[in-house]
Amino acid sequence: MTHVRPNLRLYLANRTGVLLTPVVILTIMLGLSLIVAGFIGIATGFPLPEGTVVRMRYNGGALYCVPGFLLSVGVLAMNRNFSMALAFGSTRRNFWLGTSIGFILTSLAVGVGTVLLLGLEILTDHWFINARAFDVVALGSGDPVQAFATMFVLSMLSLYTGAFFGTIYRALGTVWTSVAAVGLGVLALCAGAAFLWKWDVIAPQVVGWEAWFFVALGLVTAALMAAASYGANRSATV
Amino acid sequence: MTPSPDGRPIFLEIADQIAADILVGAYPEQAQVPSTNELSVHYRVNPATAGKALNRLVDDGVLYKRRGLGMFVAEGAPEALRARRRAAFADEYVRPFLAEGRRLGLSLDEITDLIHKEDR
Amino acid sequence: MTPSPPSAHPSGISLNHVTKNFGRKQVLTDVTAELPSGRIYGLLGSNGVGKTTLMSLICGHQFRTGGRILIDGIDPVENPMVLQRTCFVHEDQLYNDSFSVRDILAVIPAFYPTWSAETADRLVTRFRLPLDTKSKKLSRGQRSALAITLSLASRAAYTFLDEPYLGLDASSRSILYDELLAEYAAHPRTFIISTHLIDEVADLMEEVVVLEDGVVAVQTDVDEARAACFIVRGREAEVRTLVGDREILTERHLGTILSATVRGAVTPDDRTLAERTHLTIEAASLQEFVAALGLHALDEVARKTEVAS
Repeated sequence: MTHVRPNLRLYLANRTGVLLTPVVILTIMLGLSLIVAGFIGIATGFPLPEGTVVRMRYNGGALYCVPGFLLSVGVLAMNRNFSMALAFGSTRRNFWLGTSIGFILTSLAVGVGTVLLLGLEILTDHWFINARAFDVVALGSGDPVQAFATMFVLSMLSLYTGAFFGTIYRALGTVWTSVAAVGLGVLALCAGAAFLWKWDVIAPQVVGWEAWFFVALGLVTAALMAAASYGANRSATV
Repeated sequence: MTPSPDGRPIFLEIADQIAADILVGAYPEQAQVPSTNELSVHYRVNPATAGKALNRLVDDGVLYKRRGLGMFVAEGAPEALRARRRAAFADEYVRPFLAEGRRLGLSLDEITDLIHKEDR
Repeated sequence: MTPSPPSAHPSGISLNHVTKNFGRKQVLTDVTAELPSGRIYGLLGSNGVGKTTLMSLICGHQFRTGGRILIDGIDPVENPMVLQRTCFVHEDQLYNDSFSVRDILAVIPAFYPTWSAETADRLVTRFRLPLDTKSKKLSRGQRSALAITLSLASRAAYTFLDEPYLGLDASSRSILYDELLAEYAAHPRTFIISTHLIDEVADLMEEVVVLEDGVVAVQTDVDEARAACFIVRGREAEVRTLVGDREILTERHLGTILSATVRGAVTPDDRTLAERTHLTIEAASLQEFVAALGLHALDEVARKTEVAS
């Protein structure tokens, strides 16, 4: 642990950026959702009409707003922090471990932030106007455990995907980073296509999992990206 | 410390400098001279170079070592230094001076006249 | 990951037939050298000769293609106990853009059990480093000052300085040399300084290692390196007579005048002959010597290509 801790401290050097900013982004997403709901309300009168409420149940804002930022956190960690860690005498392995613990902390912040905002949303009876940003189908329709798990996994997946690309860049350079991006895209499309094609086979297996299915899928993918980033990190150079 | 144009090692230059300081009385007999590290920082040279300079002066009998204390000016060192410099005076100053005079076609008398004129 | 005390007897860096290729390009063809610990080394050579690459290989920042590298008898690659005793801030070191100088100075001490907060504070003050400036906004000189501050305060047993004076003004360079020597005197350790501003830092070094053409061309005491070549100037025929069969590293012509950089030491016979035939003999500075070796290596390469075609 002695040699891992400095790397965790390196990841946490800018605490605001890696712990607070993701939660702020979620809050901004909430603000935007409320503004949109407010405008609709002004046009149609409060309470919001049934159709709008149904549509807001499918608000996926929470899922879309954080991955972009976390991807960049992952890339920067593996690219910039990596150069610093090696300069100051760390091994690649200890750097990866320390950064991974950091990723878990960021994802915990995202998960806890989500649950807190969800709690507020339910306590305020959906912000008094029946608007929804967290009590949505994608986050388990108000189940805090599922909301936490979904956002935690999504965050880990985003961070490790960023880490994977940041590491490929350090290990193999620009060309291979593009190749990896295209390759990963193609792989994702193929996987998607395979799911659709075999859906009648898969569906009975996962019936009753509902949104947990995507949590499980995300967890597996995050683990794969983590393994890939570890593997690439072994040959990354400064 | 700038290297001398004739390529003499820096440690000899520093040894000469310390010897010159002893001659002008900066360090009297039995006084302690600066340590390797002090010389290193002052002359901005590697401590190994400064150490070589001190050791050279020890070998020449100008300094002596007191275990655990440092380097001190030997008894009679200023006088010995002066004697050695006098001995070297002919080699280092007079000979090249005469050679240059001859190259310019000056006779010994003319050169002696110049010395007297300069000394007035 | 169990912490154990660093070995009490650091023995130094040992390089054994080290090679490094980038794709098909061979940068280091066969580097062999012993660098005992506790000295200040100058790593010299032309640009692009592989000085930074060699330091990166020693610190495990890059992977060698062949050969063996040991620090205190242990292969440093991915060894936390050994690497913890190295510090190598690259000349173009990347920092996280969101970090201020203050952030960096708060985090790096965690990497070193040997860290000296006192040295860091003193250097920050002397270099007037702006603590609240983000790393990417620092000027070239400030980047160098930050690198020096981190490197010296780390008190790492093996500290690598990569062109440490880039962008520093004359007074900041003075601070660098003074602080380096003071730190070295108070806490002896191994410094390896890569530089092409040779004469300015030559006096700080105890030993020089000159890389040329992928190998160690010269490794010697600084005084010996200074005496390892000289420049003789005069009418060509007389210069050639004096040189005899010694190696001429470079020659420059001006009409019938030849100025030759000759490998070897000046003998008393040389002096007598020079006086008689009106030749001037000058000591070459270390800078001139290394430059001559570099030019010589280029000429050799050109000659080989000529023969091949």
